[in-house]
Amino acid sequence: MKEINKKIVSLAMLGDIEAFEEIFRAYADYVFNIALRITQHREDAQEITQNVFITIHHKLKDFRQDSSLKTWIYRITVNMTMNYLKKEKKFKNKTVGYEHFENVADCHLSESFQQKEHYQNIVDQLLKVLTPDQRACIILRNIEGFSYQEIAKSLGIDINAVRSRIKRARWKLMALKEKGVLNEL
Amino acid sequence: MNCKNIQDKILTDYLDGAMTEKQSNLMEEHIIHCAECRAFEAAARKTVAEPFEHALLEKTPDAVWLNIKESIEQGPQKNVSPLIKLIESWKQIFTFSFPRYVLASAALVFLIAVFIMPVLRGNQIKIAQEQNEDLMYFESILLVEDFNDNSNGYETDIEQYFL
Repeated sequence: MKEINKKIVSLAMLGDIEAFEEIFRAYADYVFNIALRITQHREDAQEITQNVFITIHHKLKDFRQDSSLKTWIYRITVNMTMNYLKKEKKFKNKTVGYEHFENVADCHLSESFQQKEHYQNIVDQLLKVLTPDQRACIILRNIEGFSYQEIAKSLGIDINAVRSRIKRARWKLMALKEKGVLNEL
Repeated sequence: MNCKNIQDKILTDYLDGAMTEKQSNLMEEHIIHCAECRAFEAAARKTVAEPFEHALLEKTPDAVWLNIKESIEQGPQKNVSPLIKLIESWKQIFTFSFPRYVLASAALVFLIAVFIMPVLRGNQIKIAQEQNEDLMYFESILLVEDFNDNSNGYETDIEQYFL
């Protein structure tokens, strides 16, 4: 991730569009990927990314420069994604059952993918069976490499709640493995 | 140790490297001697950790920035002059990022120096002046007494008569 210095943030706070574009270029892919993985839907992720950066642009004047810009942006992203799912009532529909997972996994096994695409598909399937709350924790931990403390800050929850969500999510994945659903792993 | 608790820990702090060295050593000791937990740890790594190591980062579609820019430009425009840009650049060179509490402490010291110290100093001067006045008063009393003592002279009757 490209480092954003305080000069860029200060200029963006003053309304400089070029400075704001630099912030966008540094974080857009991460915001888009978090939204994409939580919603599992490309168009939704695109809309959320737009809304996240418009919100950041409006709220940037309130941002305290001594705190982490990355954590602040991630927090806005996760909150807006969760709110989007709740608002669109897509919360339940986005968590698929074991049966659906099994079908997708079977289809996947019959297809020929390159190694990276193969793993990408597995990641998508793994995330699909989790609740959005669990998904957010797993994405920030396993993909973004956040510590439990950073996840807690980004989601605005207690560190033990983070631990608990990660534990439940992984037990769920282990249960799928046990059932033989995740044979390809 | 209870294997269920160990497996809970394997799925969280142990896999995520969030344990202290001592805790990690205790876990490893158990895993080495417990076949069930050893198998669980291997399966956990393969199922819940490894697949995510290969996750791809998708590029954000170009349309996203164009839409954001359009939305921003529809709002109130702020043009930042080159002078402000230059000032911001210089600020970066001469500004040190102090933690907030250090600034607060510095502000407190400054306030003490500017407002409280002169008051204390004024009090000290006042006290010194009062002490000086007291000293002068006592000196004057002593001098008067000395004078009276001297004026007592020889305490003869004729002297008392004229006084």
